[in-house]
Amino acid sequence: MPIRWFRQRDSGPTLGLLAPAGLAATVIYVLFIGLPIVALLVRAGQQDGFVAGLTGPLVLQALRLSLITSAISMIIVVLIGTPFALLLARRNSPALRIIDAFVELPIVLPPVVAGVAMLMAFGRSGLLGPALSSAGISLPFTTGAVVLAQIFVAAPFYVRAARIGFAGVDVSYEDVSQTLGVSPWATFRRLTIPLAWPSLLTGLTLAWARAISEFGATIMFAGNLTGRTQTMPLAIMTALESSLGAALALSVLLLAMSALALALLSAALGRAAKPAP
Amino acid sequence: MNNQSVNSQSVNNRTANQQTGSADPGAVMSAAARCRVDIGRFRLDLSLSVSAGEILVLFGPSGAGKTTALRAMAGLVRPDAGIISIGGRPVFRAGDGAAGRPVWTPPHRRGIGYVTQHNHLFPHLTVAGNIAYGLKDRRRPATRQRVADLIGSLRLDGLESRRVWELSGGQQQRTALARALAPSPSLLLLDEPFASLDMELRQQLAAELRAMVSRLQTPVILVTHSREEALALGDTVQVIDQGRTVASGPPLSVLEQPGQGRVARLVGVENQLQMRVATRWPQDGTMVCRTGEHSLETPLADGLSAGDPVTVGIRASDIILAAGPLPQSSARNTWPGIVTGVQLRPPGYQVALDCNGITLRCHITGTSLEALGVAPGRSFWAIFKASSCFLLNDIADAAGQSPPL
Amino acid sequence: MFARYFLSAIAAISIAGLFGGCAGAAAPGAPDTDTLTVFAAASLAASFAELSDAFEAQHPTVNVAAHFAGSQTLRTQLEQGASADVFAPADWQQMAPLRDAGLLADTPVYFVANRITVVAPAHSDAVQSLSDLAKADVKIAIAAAEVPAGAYTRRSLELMAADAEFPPGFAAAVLANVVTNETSVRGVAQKVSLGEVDAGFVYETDAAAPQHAGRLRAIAVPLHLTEAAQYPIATLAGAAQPAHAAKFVEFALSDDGLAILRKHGFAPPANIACPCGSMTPDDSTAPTPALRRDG
Repeated sequence: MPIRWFRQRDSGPTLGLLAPAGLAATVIYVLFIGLPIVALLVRAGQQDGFVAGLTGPLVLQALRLSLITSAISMIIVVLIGTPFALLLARRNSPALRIIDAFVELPIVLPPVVAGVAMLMAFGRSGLLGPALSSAGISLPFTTGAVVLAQIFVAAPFYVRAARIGFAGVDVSYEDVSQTLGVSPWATFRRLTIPLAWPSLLTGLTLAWARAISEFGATIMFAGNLTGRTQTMPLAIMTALESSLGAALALSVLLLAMSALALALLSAALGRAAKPAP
Repeated sequence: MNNQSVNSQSVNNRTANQQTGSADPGAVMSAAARCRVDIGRFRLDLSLSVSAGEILVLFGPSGAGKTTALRAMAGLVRPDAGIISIGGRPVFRAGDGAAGRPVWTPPHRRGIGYVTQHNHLFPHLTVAGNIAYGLKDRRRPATRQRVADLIGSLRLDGLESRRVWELSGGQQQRTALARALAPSPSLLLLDEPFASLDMELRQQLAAELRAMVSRLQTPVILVTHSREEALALGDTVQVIDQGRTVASGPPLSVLEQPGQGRVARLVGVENQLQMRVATRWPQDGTMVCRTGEHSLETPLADGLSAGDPVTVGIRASDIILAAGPLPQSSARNTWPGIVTGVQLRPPGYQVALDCNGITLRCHITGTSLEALGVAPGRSFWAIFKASSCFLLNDIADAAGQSPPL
Repeated sequence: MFARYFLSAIAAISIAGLFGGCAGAAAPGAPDTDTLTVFAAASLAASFAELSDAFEAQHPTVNVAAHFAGSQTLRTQLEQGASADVFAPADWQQMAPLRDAGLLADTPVYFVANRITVVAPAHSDAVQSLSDLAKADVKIAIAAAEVPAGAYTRRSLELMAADAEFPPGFAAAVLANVVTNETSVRGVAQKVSLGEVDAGFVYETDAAAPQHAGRLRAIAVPLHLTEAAQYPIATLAGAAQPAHAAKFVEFALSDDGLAILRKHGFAPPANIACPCGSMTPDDSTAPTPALRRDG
């Protein structure tokens, strides 16, 4: 993600040459991605029990749980992911390069496998199981497990974007900031974060979208219990077994929330990139 | 004038006189360094001193260590040995031997202003936001007044709420300068501040900088590889090459008639001719030097006799290019030649003239280039006065200016 | 100009790829075999794989392509126009709508039955008997009420609650120990097998599945406390191979077919006739001519 503080350049000669292809590709892309989503919305509107599905107690519980868990996940992701991404962006040791190569592994791992892996690590008979249980902690099938599963699958999206964002901030800016009497911590807060802000915000939004739609790892590691571990995607999958209407209602709700988040993101990025009057 | 060594006694006196790095009225502002920085296989032996209201120019080619010197002063690079003091306070001292307890002041406590080569204006802030960045209590009226004053004195009026990328090069440079000056630094570090500007702006900003320094009495260390800038701004010029100081002194003596071959090449003596003394004319104050069939007149030098080898330096800008030999001229040296190349060298052109085996480089303006019709293959005469020629000592003599630590 | 060539090239490559892929899938190896597409409940996966092999051995020109998924998913796919020859869901509820929509070629019959059983991890002694399920701090996994196994689990718990052998409030206590309502019964078996829960309600076929061999300990639920899940099978109206489809259903109902299914933990159905009128589960007990098979 390039820093967008600077004015947009003209489209350049490449686009002129490929303009017809670009137009055709745009139409194909928009139709391919857009049609299923439109179909979902149309079908949801026609479906019996759509409104009842939206206002049912199961939906509200799932929605509440999804919002709370994803918020906690994002706070933890930011608190741990930000210093980690900064280190990855600014230091270049062999060990860090190896860690860097594996940061994105959870993205390619099938979520169910991620869930099994988490059980094998933190489960009752997992690697840390005896230690955790002697400390009186039991993670699987708890709301905490939902949060951990979300962090596992979503954190790489934030770390990757944040690393790119921090790498894009010329260290010379930070040098100049310090010579102006601003401490390293204040420099990070007043300079580095604002400069990396578009990347951080994009990464956070993607991570949140991934966390709130997380299914496989959650059902594996946290199970599916209404009000405790049944987030919206789990509620959708459960509802799909009996009532398509409720499932569609939940899906439309999830879709709307994600669309809102993406719209807020592009508005925020647009404001950041817009020159002052 | 010797700025090479730091008198530790005077450093101590200043410590007693001064409290902090902020520019209290009446406080003695100065900075001095005598330290060594090792970066990989590169070694910088830095030794400098600058006092209130003085501009010290660090002059040298790319990679000489000039920027590293500034970064060491700023605290962005930690020296391996030695001492650095700013405003009388030691901000770095290696803990070796008798030097005392180690000292390290981080950059944000050094009270300096640093303008980098590319400004590094903060793109997320307005002009006013950039200038106010280093000030405490940014919402206080006094702070706003300080910003307004700087905007006024650096002629940025009306640009306060502009984004920095909307500014012209000169405005950006002045904003960077205002930002560095805002917290009243006790030392100003300028790294090629005018490099990206055109000639006219450069001269204008240089004059403004001079005026501001003499008003604020802030010591300035300015890095440049432009001879003109060094001449226009420097109270003292220190020539740095490969991490070593090779010459130091007033700009005119260091840059106009450099005494050493190595310095001469660094400061840009374009023509250096290996010759031998042929005849001395003490009554005229001149002597004739010769190599092969070429001969020219130079000022008389003591301690040389006929047959001694000399290196004669002639600045490209001191050579007149003429269509004919100018028989009625006072110039003592007149060489015919054929143009072999023309190169753009702002603000003019550099012409290579092959004078029967020796190539002379002459500097002419664009107007002259057109008027004379200078082009490769055409014949011209190079005319220069005896007093424009000076003798360059051998490189071997240049050592010992700055003993390594 | 360039763009047009570029796009047509891409289109040509993609189309070639698509058709190439289809052709390859339709006739792997032999060019003159007929492909019989079977949509079957996920719980039938292992047994139908073996059943298909046996069927292919008897009918060398037929290649059985079996597709396994949740019964509800399969039903939705068929309703949305997926083409298949045979449909075998895990319960009558997923079959009835297809019959009502006229998508079936013949009358469905029950061909196999499956019962709910309790399993515990082989190396855990937290749950030794059914009454242990109500003890405090026992973790139980069951299938969600929306999936057939979950419905049978809850039905079984109702029967236990009504039984004099169990104390009052037994079913509620068991449900309070539930930590997860899995969307598939295999998820329940997996979590018990991993030792993350102390017990789970699964089908007998799951308890017998080879991947859990040695890791699950079955705690039998008395016959009168369970209700058998009866699996219907039918050929579809849009079948491309109606003759082979009928033969496949016939084979599943044969003694040879039943032998294979029993190996995987299935029981013979109580009767083979499916309910005629409505799709409510209660109708499965409606009086129908009982065509009991021996055994």
